[in-house]
Order: sequence, then structure tokens, then C-alpha cells
Amino acid sequence: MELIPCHFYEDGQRKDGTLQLDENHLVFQVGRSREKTKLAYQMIKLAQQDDQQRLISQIDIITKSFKKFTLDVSPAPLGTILTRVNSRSKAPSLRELPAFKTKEPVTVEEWDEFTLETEYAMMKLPNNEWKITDLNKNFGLCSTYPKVLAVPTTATDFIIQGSAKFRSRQRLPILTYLHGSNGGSIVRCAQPMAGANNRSEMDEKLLELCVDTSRSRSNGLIVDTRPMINAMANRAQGKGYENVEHYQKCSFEFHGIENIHVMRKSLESLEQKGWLSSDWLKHIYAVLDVSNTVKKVVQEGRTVFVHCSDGWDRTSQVCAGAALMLCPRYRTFSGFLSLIHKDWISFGHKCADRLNLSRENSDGEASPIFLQFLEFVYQLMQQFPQSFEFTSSFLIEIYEKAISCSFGDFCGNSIKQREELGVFKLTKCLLTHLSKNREQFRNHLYEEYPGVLEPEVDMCFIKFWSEMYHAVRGNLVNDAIERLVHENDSLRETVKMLEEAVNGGPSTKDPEPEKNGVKNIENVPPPIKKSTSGLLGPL
Amino acid sequence: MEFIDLIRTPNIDGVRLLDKNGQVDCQGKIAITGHQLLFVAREKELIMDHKMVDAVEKDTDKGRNLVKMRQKNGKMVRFLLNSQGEADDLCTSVQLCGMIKFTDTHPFYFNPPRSYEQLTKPNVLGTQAWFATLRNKRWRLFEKNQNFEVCPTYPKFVVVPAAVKDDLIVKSAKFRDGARFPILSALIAVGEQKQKIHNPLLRCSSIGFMEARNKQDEEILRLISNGQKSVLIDIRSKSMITELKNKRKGIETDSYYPLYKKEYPDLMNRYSVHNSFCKAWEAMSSKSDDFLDKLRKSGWLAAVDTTLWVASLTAQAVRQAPVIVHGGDGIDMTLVVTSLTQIILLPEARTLVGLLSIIQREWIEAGHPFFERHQRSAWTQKNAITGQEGSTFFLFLHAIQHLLLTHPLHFEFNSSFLLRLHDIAVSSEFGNFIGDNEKERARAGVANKTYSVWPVLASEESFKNPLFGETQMKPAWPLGPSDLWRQYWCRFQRASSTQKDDIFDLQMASLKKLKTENEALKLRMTELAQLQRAAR
Repeated sequence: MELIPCHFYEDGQRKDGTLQLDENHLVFQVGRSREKTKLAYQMIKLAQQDDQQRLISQIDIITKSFKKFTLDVSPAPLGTILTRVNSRSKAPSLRELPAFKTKEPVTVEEWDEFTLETEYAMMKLPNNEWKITDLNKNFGLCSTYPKVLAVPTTATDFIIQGSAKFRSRQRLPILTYLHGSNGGSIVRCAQPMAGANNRSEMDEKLLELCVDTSRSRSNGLIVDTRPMINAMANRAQGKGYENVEHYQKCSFEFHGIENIHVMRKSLESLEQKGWLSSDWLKHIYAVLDVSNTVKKVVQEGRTVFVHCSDGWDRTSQVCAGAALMLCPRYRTFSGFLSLIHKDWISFGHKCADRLNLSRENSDGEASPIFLQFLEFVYQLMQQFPQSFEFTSSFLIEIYEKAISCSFGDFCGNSIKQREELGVFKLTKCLLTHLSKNREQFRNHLYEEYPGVLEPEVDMCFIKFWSEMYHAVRGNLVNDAIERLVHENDSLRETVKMLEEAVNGGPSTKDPEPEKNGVKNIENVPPPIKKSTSGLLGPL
Repeated sequence: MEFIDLIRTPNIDGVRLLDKNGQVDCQGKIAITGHQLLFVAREKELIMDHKMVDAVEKDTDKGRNLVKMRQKNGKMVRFLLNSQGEADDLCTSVQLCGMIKFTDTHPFYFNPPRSYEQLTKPNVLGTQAWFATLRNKRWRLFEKNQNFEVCPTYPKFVVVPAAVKDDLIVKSAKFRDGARFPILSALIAVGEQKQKIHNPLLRCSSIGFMEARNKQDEEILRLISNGQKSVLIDIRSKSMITELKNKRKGIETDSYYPLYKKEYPDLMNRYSVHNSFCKAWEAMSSKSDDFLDKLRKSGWLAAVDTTLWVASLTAQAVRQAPVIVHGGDGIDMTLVVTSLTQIILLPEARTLVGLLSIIQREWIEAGHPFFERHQRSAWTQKNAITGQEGSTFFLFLHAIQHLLLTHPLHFEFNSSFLLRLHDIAVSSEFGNFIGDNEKERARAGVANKTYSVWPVLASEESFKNPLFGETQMKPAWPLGPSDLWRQYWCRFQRASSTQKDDIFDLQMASLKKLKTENEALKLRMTELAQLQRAAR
């Protein structure tokens, strides 16, 4: 399509240039420069003509990651642009998402970088207490679970199958986190089909066997992340919660995380009314609070069971949340990506439905559950600025990449569905891509800290994430740090070259690189900066 | 002053200090002096200014002798004593010592350590010194207030239009509340180099209720506008304005001040700001479920946002025309607006010493009653409230904090500096913030008998923002809604004893390190380049 002359407003700043509509993006080019702003159609939540106050040639765009742009294309093929944008902002089906149209080669290796097997191996599984079963290799046991599952070594196939029958959508209790030294563990599942009076000896047995893996000899805890009233309502439909009388060695607690519909409405109210007038931060607090409870139980070396209704939303938030506080590895780049792979992608968080990726997915299933998890991570980062290898911009990048769907990881509700869609053969892997392009998100304050994070669980410490919601754009301080780190790297490089030129070898006077957490910078910028080259003369 | 009359018992032994959860933290003894309470245990030492204590409460529940002291910064200190008599003595002593006249306060008894003398005195500008930097013939010093007879709450010198004769001021002053006639706050340069003009920003109090009009006052305002269309920003509440307009009293009538366009941005007054402040503190101690609701309903963050909005409105106006700001007696919200406007517009006001100068001129000398405003805070029992309490200075600091967060490259200081300023304004051994106006300070001999904290603040490296670039000439316009200033509000909120570092502070520390390294590398590079040139 041709180039359309256009004004482009971002952050209230006007830029003049041209607009181009390519297959997957709106491309805005400033003047004749190479500065391009690319916006994937899939990222656009709303594009509409502004018919109030301003000129009719303006289009206001709001993205799914809360950015706002204004385009002024006068005189304009306005209708064409709007039709194009709106017809492509949501693919007709998952199979038609941009990820499946990639022109780059897809390799087996990229999909092998993050696997559940590797993650289990990191937890030193299998061991004396836990084994890995392939009962689900054809998704026959549970269609929304991964192929490999970690269960107690003492659990027979009969028990496992029996338990699956008693759990909503066959999502039986599966180990998701094992504490390295005290044997404490997090086991995740869906609600039991308990109804008013049903029980399953197999299920009861499986929980008992899980509790027995712990060395603490104390009871396990079943954390139902839902408010009691939600669980009661489910009981009326034959589902519900565990009757602790039948679950020996377990105690039981309800918690206060609301369901997907409440969360969806809460995000709307956040966007409309701002953080102070919406209850959004209360929900973030709830995730922190429950994750913290789970964390504490694991610290005591006990087994904790986490479920909600289907065990793929709140359960994913809390299991991943607790693990992040417990294990320093999850606070590194690769650990964090692996955690997302484990508790979100593998264990069947319904990514496609919740992120509402295509017209196959219904609006009523959409909910910002994954966003809340990222925001929970942001809260931890605020309290522990040195404990994460990456900055909060990395979280925003993950979110934007997940919803723009140029990669396949989030395209689908379960591993099974992804296999059917051909994700692993036809699309590029996002987690691997993020892992390779990590440097710009490095947190220069990071200091490896082996301990458990003990956050303040108090509403007043829950902070509005202004960078995500674009109340305040960008992070000038992080940018300045980033700039200086790179400048110093290149200066160091230059000094080294000069030392060699002057002394004919490296000098002892070389200023020691300071401990600012800069290691392994892969893309070292060109060694000589323009501004300083005048000092050098010909080498 | 005999403190012996106030202190019931100078020493109490066997006192247990309780921690946040009500558990005994350690045992030690208490010593009470005229200005401070000292708690000394083997493991720790605690010093509390009596002036810092807002509420003292005795709790004899279950036969305990518990004394709870709430400090004006929100901190709660709890002592468990052995007898009811001791508890009574402690409460009474602290309460009585907290009520002394300002001329008996700590600064008059304080001798700084010897190192104080070695500190460089920063060039903090009072009105007189500031005037000398203006070099503008349209303005002059008004010197008739030497004995504080024209206006009791103004300093000895104020800046007025050169065209306004002393006589005119002396005759008209009383027309305005507290005789606070219009004086210059700042000159704002606008336009390019050659056509540069200076628009004045002035402040005064509102018209009193004695007379409906005053020709001399009208003449002064006419001379201020210098023939230009000018703006008068009356920040009083909308309901107040409507009422006054109906009564045709206490407000500038359009036909008498034809050159002035009136703006009524409807800013909250000192009472509602302080009310919000107290309610925000209530929110801080509420349960997680109610916290957001209570914080919103307190209106504190809305007050910060509205204040910033009014300041930016004023800043925009003064870039176009002369501006006068007033609202009520002109010693609270008026000062917030005029000083914030300068912070938004003037790069020099965003340096550390520049902010101190603004505080010196626009708050201390301007007659903001620091003593009255900070005598009581959010926890005082109803019967002890005087009606003079205020948190306008803190509002000013919170608003700067928001500008600082959104414009980290614009400010030479960091938020720890702002926090320290607040603490010092509430209670300090230095004399800068004591008393209510220059008249009181002159009578008490504050300048000779107390020490200034400015040299201490200016020499403190940890208050400097390493990101600050002196080239940030652009205004620091308020952006986005303000957030809770957790460094202040949540200072004593943490449950765990482990100190967590503020992300901003850590980033700053890391930047400082990087900058030092950067400079060292650049220096080395120049050296090497020279060596190389010499070798050739």
C-alpha cells in the first residue's frame, strides 16, 4: 500500500511523516529519517474516528497495552485505514494469527530451550519422593495438562487416574514447585467434584501421599484461592471444595482472589477511573497476600495444595508468585521465562481465551490474569529493586509480545491445542526470543541474593504501575543508567585500545571496571564514540 | 525558663520498649531533659524531641502501665513502665515540655559540634539578597517595614514596583487582610534574547471586610500591571467567591480593577488540606480492604493534584502577563502556589540551594506560621486542637516530590532531601523554622541565638541527585496523577525489621557510581590522547 502523509501524536508530541499499512503493522515513518514506529494490528484494541472537538481526519488508537496514539491523515483515505485496522486487530481464528505467517525459519532447538523436563531437572526430579509420569503423553488423562507430570513415587497409576476423575476437568494434583532443601512443595490442581457429599478415596489418598513426601511431618495445607462464597456456589453445581474430614493430614483455608469476570471489570474501571477509584490494586494485593501465605507454608517444609475453580487462573498466579519469592533462580532472565513456561503455558492457563487473541475466543472469557501476575512481579521489584536480573520494562515487553502474537507460545489454551494448531512447527518461540534479546532489559542494580523474598504485605505498599498504564511514559532513570553503562563500556574499550597504542600493551593503570552488575554484555556498542573521537587523532 | 517545673521525674528505670507487634523489644531507662526524651538500653538508644510528639496516651488496660507516644512523623513509640505513678509522670512531663513557648525551644539551647563551623555557608537568598540579583529598574525594595509596623507578618524588606510610592502602600495596606499588600514573588523571563521581558508574579492577601473599595490599592494594582492586561488568581473556594460576589465585599470588583482578568481555580483552603492530611493518616492505619477507599476519600492525593494544577495554571498565566495570586490571609495556600510556580518555571529554583532560597523567602520570611502550624498534627485529641494546625508546607513538599519523580533530570536534590526538610520544619535543634514570622524572630533574636541548618543541608552529599543536568531549562510541568509518597507515609509502616531500600535511592546510588567511573575514564582517555600526541 502507498505512503500516506500523516501527523502522528504520541505523548502529546507531534511528529510529521508518512503512514504505511503493511501486512501486519501500521508503520509510521518520521520525515525522511529511519525512525519508524511499528504498531501491529493485533495490538490495537480500538481505532476510532474522533468526531468531537477535533478534526474529522483524526483517528484515535488505543492499544491493548494501554498506549494511546493519534493519527492525522488529511486529506485522507480514512475509511480505508479504519477498515483495514479494525478488520485485522483481531484474527478470525487462532490459525490466522501473525505468528503462523512468520517468514523466518522455525527451528526445533528454539522450542527445546524451555521445557517442563528441564524445569523438573532443575528441581532435581525425579528423586526418592517424586517421580515423573508420562500417563498424560497423549493427553488422555487431562487434556489441559502437559505430557509429563510430577507425582509422588508412591502414587500408583490407579490412584492418579482416580484422582483425575474427581477433579474438575481432570486437573489432578501435580507437583509444580519443590523446595531445594526442606522438601516443602507446591502442588496444584482444580477444585474437587465434591458437591454436597461426594468423595474419592483415590483423591484423598493422592493428597495424603503428597503430604507424606514432606520431611516436616506436619500437615499439608489446602489453599482454596477463592473467597468462600465462590466455592459454595460451585458446590451447588457438584464441584466445590475439599471436606477436610476426609482429607487426613490436611488443613484447609479459603482466600480472597476474585474470579475472571470481576478482574475484567476491575481493569475496565482502572482504565476509566484511575487507580485510586478502582479496586484493581486490591486484587493485586490479594495475589501477593495469597502467594505469601503459600510461600510461608513451603518455608516450613510442608506441602501446600493450591486450587481455584479450574486451577488455571488464580492457581497459576499464586503458584508462580510463591515460587518467585522462594527461589532466586526464578528472578533471573532464564528462570523467570522458565517459570512462565511452567505455570502458565504448560499447566494450561488459557492464554488465547484470556488474552482474547482471535474471534474464536469469546469476550466473556477474556481476563487480565496474566497481566495481574506481571503486575505482582512489578510490586516485588519495587520492594526488592536488587533482586531481579531484569527491569520492569522486561515485564512490559513480555506482555506486549504475548498479545501481539508474532510468536506462538501464547497462541492456544493448552499444550494440546498448540500441538493441534502446529505452533511448535510453524511459529517462532517467544520465550527463546526474549531470552536472546535480554540485554536491553538488564537491571543494573541486580545483586544475586540467595534468600527468600519477604515482602511487606500491606495495601499501602501496592503501587500503581504507571509505566504499564502509561500515566507517566518511560523510565528516565532506568534509561540514564542504561546509557551510562553502555557509555562506560565503550569508554573502557577505547581506553584499553589507547593504552595498548601508547604502551604497546595493556597497562596496569587500567581503571578497574566497577561492580555495577555489568557482565557478559553481548552487544558491545562500537568502541569509539563520535563525541570523543576528536581527542584521539589517528591511531 | 525553669524546666524543673515541667519535668516530674528526670529518670525512670526498668522501662521496656515495645516493638510494632506489642512485644518487648528491649529494657532500659528513660531520661527526660527539657527538650528531649532519651531511652537508653544496652542494644539501642532512642532520642525523641518533645516537640516531635503529637499525642501521649496512657493505657492501663489489664493492669499494665503502657505509655503510647505518637510522633508527628507518624511513628508510634510504646513504653511499658513499672508503676502508674511513673506512667503519669512520663506523660505529664512530655506533654508539658511539648507546650513551651518557641523562645524556650531547643534551638536556643543548642550548640553544634565543632565541625559545624567548617561547613561552607550556602548562598541562600533572603529577600534583600534576592532583590540584588534581579537588576531590574521596575522594582525596588520597600524599606518602611523595619519595625514591622506596616505589615506585622512581612519581613523588614519586601519588593514592590518602583512606581509605587511608600505613601501609597502605607495608606492602603490595611485594606487587605493582615495588611499583606501585593509584593513581588518572582520575575519570569519570557521571549527570546532581544525581546526578553520579565513578567512579575506577585502575592498578597485577599481584601478585608472593612471597606468595599480602596483607591490606593486599585492604584497599586494598576501600577503593577504597567498598562498590560494582567491576571488575578483568587484561589479561594468557589462557594466563598460566590458568596463574596453577592455581598460585593472582600473581593476585587471587576470595574475597579479593569486591567485584571480574574481566575477562580477553586483550590482547597488550609483547613480542608489539613483535614485531608489527618484523614490520609487514618487511612494509613486502616485495614487493607478499606485502605484505597479511605485514601481516596481523604482527598489528600486530589489536593496534591489540584495544587499542582493551580500552580501550572499560574505558571502558564505568568508566561503571558503579570500575575497576582491571593487567597485568604496569604500565608498558606498562596505561598504553596507562588513557590510551586517558581519550581515549575525556574531552573534555579530546582537546585538544592535554590529550593532553600525559595523556602527562606517564600515561606519563612513570607510569614508562614511554622510554629502554629506544626504545634499539633494528625493524632492530637480534639480538645487540644487550636485551629491553627496546618500541613500546607508538607503539601508543598509532596507536590515537589511528584515533579521530581516525573522529571528526574530537572532537580539537583532528591526526595530524601524533601523528607528531611519536612522533619526539620516540624522539630529541629536549628533555628530556621521556629517562630511564626520575622517580627517574632527579630524580637527573640533568633539570628544571633540559634544556628542555621542550611550549611548542614547543603553539605550533605546524599541529598544530591546524580541525574541532575544543569541544562534542564525547560519548565517541569506536572505530569500524570500523583502517587502516595511512600518514603513519608509508609516510613514506619513496615512489619518486618529488615530495612528495604527505596528503588529510587538505589538507582541514584548506582548512577553516582557510574558517573564517577565515567569521569575517571574520560580523564584517562584525555591523558592517553595527550601522551599519544606527545609521542608522535
